Amino acid sequence: MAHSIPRPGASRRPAPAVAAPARRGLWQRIAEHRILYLMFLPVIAYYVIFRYWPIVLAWIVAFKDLQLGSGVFSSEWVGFANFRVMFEDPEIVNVLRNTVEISVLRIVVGFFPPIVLAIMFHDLASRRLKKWLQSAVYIPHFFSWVIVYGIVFAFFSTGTGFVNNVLEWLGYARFEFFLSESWFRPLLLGSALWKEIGWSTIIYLAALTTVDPQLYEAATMDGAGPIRRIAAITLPSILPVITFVLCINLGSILFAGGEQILLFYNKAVLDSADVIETWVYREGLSRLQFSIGTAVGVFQSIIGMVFILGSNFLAKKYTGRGIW
Amino acid sequence: MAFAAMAVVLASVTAMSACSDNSGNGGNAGSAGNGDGNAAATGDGNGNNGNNGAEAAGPPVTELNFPDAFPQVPKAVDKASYAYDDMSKSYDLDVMLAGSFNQPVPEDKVKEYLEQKFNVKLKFTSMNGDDLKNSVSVRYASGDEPDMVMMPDKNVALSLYNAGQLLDGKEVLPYMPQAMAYVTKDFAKWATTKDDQLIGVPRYGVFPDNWAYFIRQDWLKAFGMSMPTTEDELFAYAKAVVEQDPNKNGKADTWLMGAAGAGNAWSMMDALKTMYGHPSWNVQDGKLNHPMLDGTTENFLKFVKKLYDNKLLAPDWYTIGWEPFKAYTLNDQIGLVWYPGWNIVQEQYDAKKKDPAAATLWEPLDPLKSNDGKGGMYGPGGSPGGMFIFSKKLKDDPGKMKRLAHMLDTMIYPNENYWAVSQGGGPEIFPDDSTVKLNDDGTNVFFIKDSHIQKAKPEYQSLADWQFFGYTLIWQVYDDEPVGVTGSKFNQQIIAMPRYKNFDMNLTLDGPTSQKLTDFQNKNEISFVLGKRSFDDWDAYVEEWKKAGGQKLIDDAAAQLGAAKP
Repeated sequence: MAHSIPRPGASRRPAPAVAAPARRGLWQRIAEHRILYLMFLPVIAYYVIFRYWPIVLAWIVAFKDLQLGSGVFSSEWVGFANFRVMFEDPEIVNVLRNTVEISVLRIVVGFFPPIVLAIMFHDLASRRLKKWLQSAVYIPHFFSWVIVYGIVFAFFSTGTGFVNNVLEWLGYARFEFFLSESWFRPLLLGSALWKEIGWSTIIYLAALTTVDPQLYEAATMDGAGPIRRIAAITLPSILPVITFVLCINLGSILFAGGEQILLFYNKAVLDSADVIETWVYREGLSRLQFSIGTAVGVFQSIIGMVFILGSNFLAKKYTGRGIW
Repeated sequence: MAFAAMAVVLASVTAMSACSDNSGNGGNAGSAGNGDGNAAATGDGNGNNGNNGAEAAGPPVTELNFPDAFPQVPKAVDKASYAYDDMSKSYDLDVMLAGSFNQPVPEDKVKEYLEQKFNVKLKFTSMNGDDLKNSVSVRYASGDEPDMVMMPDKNVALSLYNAGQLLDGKEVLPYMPQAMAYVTKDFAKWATTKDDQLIGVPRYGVFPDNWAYFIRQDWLKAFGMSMPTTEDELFAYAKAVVEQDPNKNGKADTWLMGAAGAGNAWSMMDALKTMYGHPSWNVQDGKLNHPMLDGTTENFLKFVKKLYDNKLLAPDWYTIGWEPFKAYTLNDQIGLVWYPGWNIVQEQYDAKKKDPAAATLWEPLDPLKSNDGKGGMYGPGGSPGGMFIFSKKLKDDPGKMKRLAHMLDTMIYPNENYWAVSQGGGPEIFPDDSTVKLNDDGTNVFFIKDSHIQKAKPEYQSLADWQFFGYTLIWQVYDDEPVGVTGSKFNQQIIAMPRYKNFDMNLTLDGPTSQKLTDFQNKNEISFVLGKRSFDDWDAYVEEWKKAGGQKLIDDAAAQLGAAKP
């Protein structure tokens, strides 16, 4: 097949212009892909009805005096009265302090260990051992908090707990861990870490699969040791994911894990254990003050949003990476 | 196009399910219409004592004359009383109660029995008291309210009533002639609102004021002690229990007692308060009093602290729950328990592999006195065992309301279904497992085979759930040796013990404030015992208590009891 070779000096004719596709409107595109959009409709309906509509309702209820049977829309508007009740409650300062302290401790204690564990898994040479270990650390995630409390009780109870048995064997007196305010948080955070550390590695392991193995090979040939490889290759590679997880965690700063605390706390440690969720459980649900409970939920969401936006801003400013 | 059709179907299903989730009222309104519009006649009406399609009769109780006391000899009402109920119509009934477990029973024979007998389709929910409160409030808030709840907590019932969600009990009670026999004047007053309506229909308690402290007789004998009568004698016994190794195993594993309230309340230890005075609201010399104000609570806490500081309480004494604590109690490690008469005998007997000697290990202790001569009485008795509350929506469907009243009333002692729904299903459902003997004096002997539990409720090893509608031990006697005879004797002994006057029956205090104050007290009281707060702060604490809602309740209680404020 003869190729036409442009001759030097021959005038170049402009190639015939290929008409750029006209930018079509949203509705045109929807019409074109209507079948796909129709299939997507249930998902949209689900999110609108079960996710976004409740947010709208919550914002309305937070400013109303919702009475049983009166319905959201026919209830009386009360302005910021529900928020005033919350902030005038003598317990609320302690509750807010506990919430923030426990949340920050959760982030501090629960944020780095999964990263370390994920890197350890990633560096394991034996695939068989890696799979076995991963399965072992994932299992606690599937335990309910009731089961986890049972395990913690078995270890730390005064009468028959393993730890107290060891203490006694070593000649120490038995210690009442569950009546101790100073031990409440370590037990809470430790058990939460044990339960979730494995599961939390998944997102980092997924990120680590995208790292080009040639980078490690090149670094090894250049004389980089394991620590250096982690610092120079692994951590920078998963930094966007780390940033994302941190931002999302900061968004939960006023959510201290109420379900776990409800099971773990007792009246003896209430001063250091009572958080917003447990306060709402008592004030809102048990005492039928739904509007106050909802107002607190709205307050938590606002603070959470501020933290997400703030942390994203700071992350972009100092690392150049953010969620969006 | 197949995808399009699938998408449309999926979208429709999602939207419909969402709508149905959010329209509980509508759904219920539909079912409420069963009474008339959806009245699929079942033909024979199942041969019940109600009216089978004929013109319905009026209520059997035409005037609500509340009795002064329970009947001396309870008798089942005439079946013709329920002629008002047109049994040819079928209804969907949604009922809830405070039971022991949250799990549904996969094969519920009692439910099947009632559905067949009353031509109804039942939705039955049984859960523990705290969960029930929350579940009921959420269901009412979401417009998915049940038809009836056996509510143990008056505060929640009152909140629902104040929100206009409940039917006046006086509209239902005329159709419940059996229950009416037990709605005494005091019970009625307890359940009556300011506008002279009934929040619900009060029911008798399950236990007949037969709770008391039980003490180990063999240990007392080993210590050379007699039954303690004062706080000092009790303390001496406590020291002996811990120091003299009464179970003779060479280990330091015996203690006086524990709270066993799962870290939320004093539970088993609470009645020690009665050594120092009235444990609840009361009136003394025309002046209102509360245990927080007259030193009763303070002295009680000091005594508990003394026990705690001397290491006389069991491990995990405060945080352990009632059931786990039994491992100590029944294993010869505890010297004092708060228990119903018959139950401690039965449980210890079973734990000792039916050794007859086990039935004599525990005996009830007369109410103790403080060193300054106060006390000598147990807490007030005679309180109702909760109330049946009815949803207001029943007003729109009188037929359904009548069926519910009919069914419920037959479960009240000693009506025709009382035993059928008790202990996991009585002889009507499990004829080989149990027998019933109704005595001439109104008492009954309800014998259950040990193997019955395996047949009735193998799923969770309990016979409780349906029985909480009507079951009571007030008239139940036992004739089996050694447990029944001994347990019955103890029950009667405890019932005869002196008690403080019950003023709470005449009080309807603000529910949220009362609950908040209870939390406040529980939190602070354990702090005093553990030494986190000093008793030097007691007066300041009482002032905090007043600010936390105590003063509001004092004002309300004084007004309601017609007493001067302290």
